[in-house]
Amino acid sequence: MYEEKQPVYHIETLIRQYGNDVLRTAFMYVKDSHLAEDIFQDVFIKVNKNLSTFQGNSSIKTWIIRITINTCKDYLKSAWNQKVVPMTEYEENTIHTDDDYKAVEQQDQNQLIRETVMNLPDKYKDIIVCVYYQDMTISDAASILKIAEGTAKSRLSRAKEKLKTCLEGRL
Amino acid sequence: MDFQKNKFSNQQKNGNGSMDRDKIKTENRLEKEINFEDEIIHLKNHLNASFDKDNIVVSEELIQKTLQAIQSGKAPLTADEDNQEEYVVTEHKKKNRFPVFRLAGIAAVLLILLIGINILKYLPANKKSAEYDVNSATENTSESAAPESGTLEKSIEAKKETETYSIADTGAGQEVAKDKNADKSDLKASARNDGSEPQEANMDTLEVEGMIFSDILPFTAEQVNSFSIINSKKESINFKEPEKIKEFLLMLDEYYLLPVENEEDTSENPLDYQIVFTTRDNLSYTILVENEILLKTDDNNRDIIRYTIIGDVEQLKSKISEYR
Repeated sequence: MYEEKQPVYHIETLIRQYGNDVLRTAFMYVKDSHLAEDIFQDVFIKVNKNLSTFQGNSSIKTWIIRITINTCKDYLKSAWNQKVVPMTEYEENTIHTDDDYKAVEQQDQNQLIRETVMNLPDKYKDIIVCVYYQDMTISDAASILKIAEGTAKSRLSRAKEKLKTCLEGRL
Repeated sequence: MDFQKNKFSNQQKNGNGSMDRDKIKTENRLEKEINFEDEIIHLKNHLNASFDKDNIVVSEELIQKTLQAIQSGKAPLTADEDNQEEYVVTEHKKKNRFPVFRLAGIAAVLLILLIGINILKYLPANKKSAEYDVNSATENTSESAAPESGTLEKSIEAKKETETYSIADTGAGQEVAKDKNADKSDLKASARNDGSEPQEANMDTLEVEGMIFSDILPFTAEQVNSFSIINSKKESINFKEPEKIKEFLLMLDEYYLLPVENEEDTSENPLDYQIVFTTRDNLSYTILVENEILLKTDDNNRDIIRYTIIGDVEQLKSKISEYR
């Protein structure tokens, strides 16, 4: 009975349906469109390979986004990337300088918000992306990020504070 | 979000009363907060609009490439050989570096520990060893000659005197032998012949500090059959009792001696006392007491070793003269 209710997913359908979410989530982590495309391919290869193991405990989108975030983090952890893109924290700090503010003021509001989200520390970016970008529940986000629900809530609160601080007076 | 909006509306209602500055400020702040809440609720729209503007969208080409990659099973990230090589090299370097740093750290810690231990060990130990030498010397003496407890104290005092007395103070006016080993080696040899090992040990410990009679006499009290004290007038008194022999040797041990290098003929010096010990082996040892002490064996030519007394020679002479 249970097996009959399990929907059958086709990889191309999944790509077309959730492709943008995967690509854009990947972009927010790796900050490079080409790398994001590579991550995109990697994610859907993994999805295709592990589709049979998907048990339906969460939505298929949540599962795919989990794979995306994990793939991005694995990539960012790699020695190669540490050598090439070591600027996450640096950029985060430098966005607060006056020059950066002036430069960012030239961009439109959407760009500014995107930059701000992308330059958040990873733990805050994770929860913002999950909850506000991927419309997940706190519970799903906590599950994906392997943290307690309470931690997820407090982290989301701090992330919002951080975003607010960064965007204050510029929106 | 809804909760916060309700909260804001409640606060807004409450704030409609008096419009003082604080309330205006609070309202402005709340207005900013509601604006932010509005923005964050629409975060997804903002982000998607931004991505659309920068054309970060999944193209048909990307979909086809991904499908091909799925079919071939070749992931772009893992298929990037250059990246992989670099990654492997970095990992390899990491592996090599890890134990090197660890080992260097461990070596540094061990080195610091060793230095610390040595400092702790040697600085106070030197002082203690010097004290130990004196104590061991007196203890060894007590083992071989069983002196009185007063003798031990006097020995320590005499040892202290060695540090303060000069050779001139002794009245000898002669140079102290710098190389005492040559003289002492003879004594050691004779001591070995007699099988008196404790004396040898005493010689080693007292090389620097000076000696007592037990150190230079190649026999113990038990090995002495008799001894005679002959004064300058050739008057002689003989002792055969073991207790007397022991007592006399203990009395002699109260005085410290230093070997004298100069071996000039002392026959012209006035001889105060002559003490002749005869051992159970029928060997005769003579101590000549004048301003210096001379130790002679029975053939009168071999093993003539001269010592200067550190301390009061006249007191020693008077003690010898009173010995009955």
